[in-house]
Amino acid sequence: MSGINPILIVDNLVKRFGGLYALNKVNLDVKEGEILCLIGPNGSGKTTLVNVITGVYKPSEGKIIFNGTEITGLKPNQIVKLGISRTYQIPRPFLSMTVVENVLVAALYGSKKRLSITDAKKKAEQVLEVVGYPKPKWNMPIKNESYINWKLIEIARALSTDPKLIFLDEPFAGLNPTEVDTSLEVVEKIHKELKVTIVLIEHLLRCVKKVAQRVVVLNNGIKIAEGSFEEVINNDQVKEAYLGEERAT
Amino acid sequence: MASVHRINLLKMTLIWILFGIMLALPNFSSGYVLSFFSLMFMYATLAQSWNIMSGLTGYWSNGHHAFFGIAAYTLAILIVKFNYDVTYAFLFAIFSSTVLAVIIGALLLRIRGPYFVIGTLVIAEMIKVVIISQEWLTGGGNGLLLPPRYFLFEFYYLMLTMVLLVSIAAYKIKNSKLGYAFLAIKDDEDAAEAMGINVTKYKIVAFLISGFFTGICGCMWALYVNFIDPYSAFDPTLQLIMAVSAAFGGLGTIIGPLLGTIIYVSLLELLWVSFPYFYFIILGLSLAIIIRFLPQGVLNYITTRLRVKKPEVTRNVWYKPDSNSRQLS
Amino acid sequence: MDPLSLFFQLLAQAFLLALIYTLMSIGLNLVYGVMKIVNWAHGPVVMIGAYISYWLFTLYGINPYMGCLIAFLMCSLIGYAIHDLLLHPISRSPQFGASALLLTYGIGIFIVNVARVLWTDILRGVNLDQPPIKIGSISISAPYFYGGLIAVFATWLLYYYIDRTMLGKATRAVSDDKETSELLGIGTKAISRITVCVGMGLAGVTGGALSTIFAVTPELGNVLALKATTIVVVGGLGSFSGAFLGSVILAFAEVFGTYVSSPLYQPLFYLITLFVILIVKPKGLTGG
Repeated sequence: MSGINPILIVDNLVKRFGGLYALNKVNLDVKEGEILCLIGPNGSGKTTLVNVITGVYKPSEGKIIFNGTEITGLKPNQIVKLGISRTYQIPRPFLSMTVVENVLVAALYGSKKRLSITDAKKKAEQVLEVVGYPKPKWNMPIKNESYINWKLIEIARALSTDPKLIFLDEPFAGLNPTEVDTSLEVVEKIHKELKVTIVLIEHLLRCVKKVAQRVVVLNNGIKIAEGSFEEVINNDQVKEAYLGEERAT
Repeated sequence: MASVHRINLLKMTLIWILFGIMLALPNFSSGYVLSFFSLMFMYATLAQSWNIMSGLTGYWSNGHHAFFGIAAYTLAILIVKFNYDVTYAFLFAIFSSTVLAVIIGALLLRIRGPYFVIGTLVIAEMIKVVIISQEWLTGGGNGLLLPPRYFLFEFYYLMLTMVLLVSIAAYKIKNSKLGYAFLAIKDDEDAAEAMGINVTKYKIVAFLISGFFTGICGCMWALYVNFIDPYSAFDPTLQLIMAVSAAFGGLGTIIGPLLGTIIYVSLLELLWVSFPYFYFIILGLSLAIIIRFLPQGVLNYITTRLRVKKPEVTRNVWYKPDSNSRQLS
Repeated sequence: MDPLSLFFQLLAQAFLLALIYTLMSIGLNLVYGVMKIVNWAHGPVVMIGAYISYWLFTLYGINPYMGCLIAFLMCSLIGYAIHDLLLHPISRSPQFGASALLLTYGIGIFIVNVARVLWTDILRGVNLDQPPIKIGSISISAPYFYGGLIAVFATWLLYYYIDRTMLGKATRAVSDDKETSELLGIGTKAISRITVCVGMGLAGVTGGALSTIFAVTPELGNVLALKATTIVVVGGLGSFSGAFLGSVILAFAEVFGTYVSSPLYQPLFYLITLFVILIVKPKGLTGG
């Protein structure tokens, strides 16, 4: 287990949309260098949590502290430069650009360093190499690429900003089992070689079992369980959240 | 690949020939021809500067004639009412149109799409109404008379220079770091922000650059026509022509607005000469037709037809339900 | 006339005008509800409706209120053409909202200038020489009164259509959730088409009513386009109560505004209101 200091502290986070509590006093510590899995039924607030942490939404209450600095209320472009990046559940590529350009833009604007276009391109190519993106496709328009490639590019973009912490929002959704295995390998590779802290939102429990060092469960905007994979899946509240009251018992 | 290279060579040669002709034109043509071409160059400049904003970032501004008019009026008021020297008035006028662009950009920051179009239109309308109402300053509906400054000859070369300048600027921007920011904003503004792009800042920058060049045109035009009034300086036809020219040629490209202006303005002139009644009718109709049939511009349409580009690049032009591209198709 | 009576007279006038404006903006809101676009050709079609009513009256002596009906039919056809030829083919593109706005903006200019070529800018109007309607010490101008009646009647018909008929229900379904409606087998193209026809038809009816009140000229199309957009954006896009609210605000500002300030500043009232709402609360006063 690497690092004992929490790289990210989420302190009593509340997010209201009108009268609806999407996040209700969520407390979370992410330890440096770990792979944390965030699970929970649909609508439990996982993506909202990522959105609040990365600045897409302002929290209604609570604080977020990253690397000792408070980042509550900062804008997404500021937070990326501080070292947190994220991927989207449904990929959002820049359709007018090529594959490498999509990653290049992130390298250009997302890191603290000010790179020239040539340097950013080199960096983008490095990252594409790391995620294993097929080289002949690098200068092709991204709009013709396949879905799994789009998901790969999401990860590449998140990596090229030199992040210390990455949120991967359901990176395996929509992939067939072989593609899932490939992506899993990429995630593990990133973690090992680049030493990034990863928070993975995922439904597929076999993936969670394989990579997670710690699991946090959300339901209805509240954290209901935390611990190792085994601890969490045997937790009654978790079973109830996923299966319903009767089947849990 | 060879055919693409040949096309580029052809393009370059044509451009140089054209440029030569344009330079020499005043030596062998009538006042009418010169006047036609100088206005065409002005429209091309306007189209290109509008393109820097709306073509590159995807935010269709429907009020760019406001920058033109404000520059013209600032210049005229300073010269006529405050006896400023032309040079200082010129500089100040450009400054005012640029500042206006920044203000409008800041006001409209949070609105997009059709609301943005309406917003820009409304602002331009408001400015026009204010100008008309402040008769003590602006001469109201009667306009202002300026001392003559540019003759046709000078205006022609000024406008030719402007087209070149703004096109070079557009080219440099498009291929720079800034260009990538604009393109990202056009494709998916929220994802762009998540990548670290300060979309607020860059949207205002786009407005600024665009307003700057448009303002210069306004000043030069005012000094050439010597008489301005709110209906000519804030003429929505200006906006329509610059937008349709750019969209017709190809939004977001460099040569698009230029090509589009040449074809479109020539067509309009033909129309004005032979069937003046149809002029405004066609103006309105052409906007609708461009959006309906040629949203990618005529250049793109032709190159796909000639199969210089692979057809797949523009496939699914109409049906793109999940696309985040901000182009009008 | 004493100030109090004047006040009530203006009040009545403003209220009746608000009713007519409501009729105008309901058509626009209908189209927004189903297609989620702002139709900038709405104002110009109102102007066309006014001309239809005018020519029917001037050439054939047809009562303009009958003329409203014919205007409804003819303007529906215009709506049919606009929908099928122009709007529907681009309805699946991204940025459809902006594209449709610009497209209808162009069509609006087209319509206004066709009218200009056909009928020139000469001010026209339908003058029925009706005596004012007296209620107590207030006399209400007859065209405003009958115009208001037509507006109420047409609005009631529309309400009946939307609330009680199957088509109306289907229209509401498509307005709420187009995708699901499609899944449920509702022909959304047909509904869009019919709704645009009805919306434009209502624009025509409004024009017929206005032909007795305002001066009929092609420029009216441009003026009304801006006013109609102001009303629906300020009131709340897609909301019928918003249409009424926005109309009331605009009508009252207009009628009372002419007493308060110079006509030069007139347009600023609604332009500024529109702009402020656009920036602060784009969903309008009743939205969200």
